[in-house]
Amino acid sequence: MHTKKQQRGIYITLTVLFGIIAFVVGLLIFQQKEADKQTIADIKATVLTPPRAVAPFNLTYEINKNFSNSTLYGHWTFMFFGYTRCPDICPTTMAVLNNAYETIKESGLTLPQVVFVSVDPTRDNSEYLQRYVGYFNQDFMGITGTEAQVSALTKDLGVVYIKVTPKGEAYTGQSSTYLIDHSGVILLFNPQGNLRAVFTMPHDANQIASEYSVIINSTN
Amino acid sequence: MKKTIVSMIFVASLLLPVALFADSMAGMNMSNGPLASNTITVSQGYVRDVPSGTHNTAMFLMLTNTGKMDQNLIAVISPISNQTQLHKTIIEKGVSEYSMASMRQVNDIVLPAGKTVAFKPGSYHIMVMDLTGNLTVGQQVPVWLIFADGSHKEIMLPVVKK
Repeated sequence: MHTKKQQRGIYITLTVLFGIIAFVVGLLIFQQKEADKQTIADIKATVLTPPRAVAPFNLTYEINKNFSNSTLYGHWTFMFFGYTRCPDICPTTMAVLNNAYETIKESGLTLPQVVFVSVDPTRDNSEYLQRYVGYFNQDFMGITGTEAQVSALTKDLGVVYIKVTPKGEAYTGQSSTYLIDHSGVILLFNPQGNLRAVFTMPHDANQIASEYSVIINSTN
Repeated sequence: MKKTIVSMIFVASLLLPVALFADSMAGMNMSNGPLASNTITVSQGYVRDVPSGTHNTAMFLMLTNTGKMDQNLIAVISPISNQTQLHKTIIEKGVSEYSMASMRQVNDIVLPAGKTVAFKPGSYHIMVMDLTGNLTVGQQVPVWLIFADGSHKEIMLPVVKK
């Protein structure tokens, strides 16, 4: 049996422990509430209000399947521009998009469509592109078109790409070895097919997933 | 003309260590050869796995120069590709609305004495062009780092999906 003094000690210890636990739980709930209160004004991505209309475009995915404005309708779409011979930024960004996509999936939110647009249609055909994006995530789409079709879309969206030699000189078409400097943004389109947000480099999967949640739930 | 001479000297300077390599390779243990660099240590190295059929990839690693003199990495050779280049990724605001991602070939990368240089995504990397075959995750890839003083280092890097 414990003495009265021991019992008192136990009560005090239990009370203090309970107090600490209650405080920590309270703090966590508070932080969660704060996080939930995040609005489009607080996020790092640039949100376009009102969303910007996209000029008519026509691209291709898999074999001769048409990807146009209407392919953006009815769901949210992330779009990134690159080329498969790009060994650094493009695979890194595709892996980030895969992580963001899996996080979105786990949180039970509406799943977006994720699209990789090749700005190197001479070397990337749409059939190969599908395999390329499927390596990162089977749900992703890889699209491209003719040079004219690709540049029509990129120009409208403010996305820039330019062929250069490995040393950064202007590419004159004399060798098949060229690199492409390209905008590294990830664009988010709303289910009406309008540009809603722009994520700039460096890309972070958790940021993209949490801000996606804020953007798609925003009524502004 | 001047350019031709310069490029000839450059090619020759590249071939010299390669020729020396071939010699030491016959001994099957390049790491212990007389020109093996003992002052460069490698950590966290990998070759990025890519979808089958992809032409290019990159190698990333940390290079520490434990020596008292700067070392200058001038070339990298690996049997998985026909061409490797030293590259740096640059992300900068250009003329466009959004920042641009660019890669640039660099002639050499200085490894200052006592310092570590990181080859990592978004920065320096070894650009592997024209892969000779498909990669397999876990595969060990032999890589030779070649320095301006004629020394070299043989390393094995695993293929990793990142």
